[in-house]
Amino acid sequence: MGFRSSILAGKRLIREAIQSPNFTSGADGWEVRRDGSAEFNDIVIRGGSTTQGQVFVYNGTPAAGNLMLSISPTAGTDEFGNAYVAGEGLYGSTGTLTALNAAGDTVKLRTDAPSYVSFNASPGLELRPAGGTGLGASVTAYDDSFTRGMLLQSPTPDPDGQSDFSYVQMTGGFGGVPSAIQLNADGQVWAQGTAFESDGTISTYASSNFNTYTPAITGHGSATFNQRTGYWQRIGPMIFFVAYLTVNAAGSGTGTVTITAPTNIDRSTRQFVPAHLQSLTTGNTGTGAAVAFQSGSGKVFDGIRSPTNGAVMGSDLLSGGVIVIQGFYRELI
Amino acid sequence: MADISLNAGVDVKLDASGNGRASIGPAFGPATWHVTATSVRTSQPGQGNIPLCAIYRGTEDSAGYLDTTYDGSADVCDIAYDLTPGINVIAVWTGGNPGDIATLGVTGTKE
Repeated sequence: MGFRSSILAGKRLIREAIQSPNFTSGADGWEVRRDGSAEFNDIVIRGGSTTQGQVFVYNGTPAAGNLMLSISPTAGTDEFGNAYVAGEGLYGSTGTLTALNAAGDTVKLRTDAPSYVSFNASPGLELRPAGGTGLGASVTAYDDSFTRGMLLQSPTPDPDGQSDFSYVQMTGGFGGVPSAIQLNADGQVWAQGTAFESDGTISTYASSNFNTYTPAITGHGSATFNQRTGYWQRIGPMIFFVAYLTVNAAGSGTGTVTITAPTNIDRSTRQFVPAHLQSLTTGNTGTGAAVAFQSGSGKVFDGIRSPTNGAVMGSDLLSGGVIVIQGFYRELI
Repeated sequence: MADISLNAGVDVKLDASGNGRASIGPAFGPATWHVTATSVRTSQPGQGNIPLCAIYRGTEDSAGYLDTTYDGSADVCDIAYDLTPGINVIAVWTGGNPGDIATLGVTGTKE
């Protein structure tokens, strides 16, 4: 019969390998080789495992084009021609890394995240609460025919079921498509049609309407007004406003005419806003000012001064007279 | 002549490549050795480099070839054969631990 010819000498494998009867590399069975390599069809590892070197995971039989996952200290190409990156890599149509909690909320790092602006899926992060429909919220980089940038957008529809969505767009170019908020690479901030430049100036204002208010008048005596209208807009701590008065019935009395601003006036210093006075009494027509004294309070401009710095009184308000007060003041914060 | 129990062996020191060759047989005639078991082993069975070992009868070629074991550090072959003066059994070890003592042994009967 011959030698026993064991496969083991002590605990050492002395044959080149041991394998299952149906072993076919890449297809069936298993093999463990004397050099430490091995191939298994299916494996369960209890406890922990430690891996050194590289890990490759394929979608099906390893071949060109079906590498799904790689872990490698350096970039390279596998034996089938698939390029892999240094570190951890996900590839192909399965190139998505998903975090999923018990509630069904997901965060996906994907190469085809929703990107509305370009209507093309782009590499980015998709965030979707459980039960969400439509596009998830996303942070994506995009490159379409007219601009490139990063897009931060809310889900559509939003959790309240509204179909509208908002986004913050940071672009490398300026494509002319208005965003909710757009941060440009040159430092310009575009918000609802208003452009704030990196030097602190405002170059473009949105076409939105001014706020309106009705100025309150005191000291006018018997005067009535055809028009008593105000417009205003807040820009940081400053208020820009227009107060427009046209006198119908003439005024009376020697009281100082006062007029209100749309908001409280900062009294840390005296403030004034230019005024144009027309068709008032002699000496009270021309360029004047609405003045807010430090001793005053609230929204009241404490007096309307004539071109000669005299206080406009009720009796100076002639029928047909026009007062326009227009400019900036510091708002009391 | 009644058969006498046969139990003989010979040692060789494996060389720097872990190789060695040993042979044994009846030294003079008309003795005949009826070998029923041929053993091969080393001084470190199952340790380090495990040598292959091939055994031959008479000539170290295909005509004399008997068997090969992957475990030349500890194995036994039960092929029966006869040895007469001038015809030895030869064991050839390869790939073992340099310096190990390899031993070829035969058991059976002799007349």
